[in-house]
Amino acid sequence: MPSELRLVKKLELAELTDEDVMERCALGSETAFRALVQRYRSRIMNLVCRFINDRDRAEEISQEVFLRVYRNRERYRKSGKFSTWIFTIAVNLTKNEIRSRVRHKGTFSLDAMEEDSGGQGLAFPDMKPLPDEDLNASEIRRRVAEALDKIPARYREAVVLRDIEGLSYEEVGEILRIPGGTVRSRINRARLMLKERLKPHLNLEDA
Amino acid sequence: MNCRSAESLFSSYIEDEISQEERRNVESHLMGCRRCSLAMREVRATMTMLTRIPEVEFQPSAHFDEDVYARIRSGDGLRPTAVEWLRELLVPARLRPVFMAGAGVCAVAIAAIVSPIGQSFLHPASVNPSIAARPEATATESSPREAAPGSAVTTPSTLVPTTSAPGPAPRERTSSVIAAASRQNPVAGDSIVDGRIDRPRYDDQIINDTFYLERGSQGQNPAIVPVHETQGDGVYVIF
Repeated sequence: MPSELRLVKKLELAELTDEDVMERCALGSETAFRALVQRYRSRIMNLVCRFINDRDRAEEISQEVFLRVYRNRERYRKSGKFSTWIFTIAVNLTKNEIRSRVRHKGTFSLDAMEEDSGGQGLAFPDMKPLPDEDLNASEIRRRVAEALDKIPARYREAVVLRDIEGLSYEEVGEILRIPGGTVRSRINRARLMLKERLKPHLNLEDA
Repeated sequence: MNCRSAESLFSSYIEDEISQEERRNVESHLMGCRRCSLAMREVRATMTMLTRIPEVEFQPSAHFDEDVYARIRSGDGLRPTAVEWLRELLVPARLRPVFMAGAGVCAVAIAAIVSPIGQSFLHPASVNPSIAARPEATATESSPREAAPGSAVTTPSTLVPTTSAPGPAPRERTSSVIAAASRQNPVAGDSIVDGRIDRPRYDDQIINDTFYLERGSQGQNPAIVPVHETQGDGVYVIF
């Protein structure tokens, strides 16, 4: 075998972890950045949508999240999870949006946003059935959305990140910048509040 | 254990993140408290209901990606916000020259003030004869005291570190509109622009939606060869 021939293994970008792709992005790969946008646009869009009652604005904020990723790409450290990093950016931008709305309304707390929403639903602005979704699932989404809408923002953000986004307690704490004990108590409290609101619709056979 | 304490441990109990002792206490309480027992089941059912919410409900618009790239090309959103700018300013590595400059100026100012020359400027009427009559040898030991006030201020300017020259510019990248926008808008905290870190950069080129070239940088290991030698999108890494 000629010495210049070497074993070659093909690595698809899709096979790489988020952290590896982000590292390539930090090194200047435009393709890697595009891959990250494709991987995370839906999750970020959904996360932001669950906190603000404005789909168009949610899309703008989601785009802003990716601009922040691009702008700060060289600050990213591979030791941390990329998903935690980008979720932190999304949550912070969303909080800024909520604060700015609250300030505009002349109120003083994030939770006041719920009063401002007038029961229109903060967490799930659009309750149309999803494709291939049966009516029961659509109804569950609507009930959960209404219940989430009624609990204070600090509990809602914790329980959404944990139970809907499926993040670990550590990741939730890192994103919200609160200690582990506070994460656990907020999530537990949120679940207790939600079960009170969802009580008529709960299926105890699930328990 | 009372109902309130048990309730605070429901989630930890359900998710099995609880000590053996706490578990025994909760179970002991649930055995004798129908209300908490029911509440625990309701919390479980609530959690099941929440997990049925699809992770992705709202699809971004079809032009989402292009809007992001267009905003990058235009430079919109690439400029640092006031908060980011302030944070950049407070990065210790950046602050160090400022501290050194400030410390140098302060040291000179203090030295000038406590020196006899400084004292004579501050208190012209109270001439201390003992200072005026000091032996010459002592004066030579403290030669800076003999310097004019003006020179005392100018001397430490050499202590102030000069701003380091920017490092090597990023390598030219071919037909990359995003990179072009990035070069036009050097952002705060860009270590390559600032020259703090000289890192190799990929040199990629988008050919179309499916294929791209990723050549890698000189001396990079593993080396990356052009994708046009492959079937499909991807990179070849030579081990």
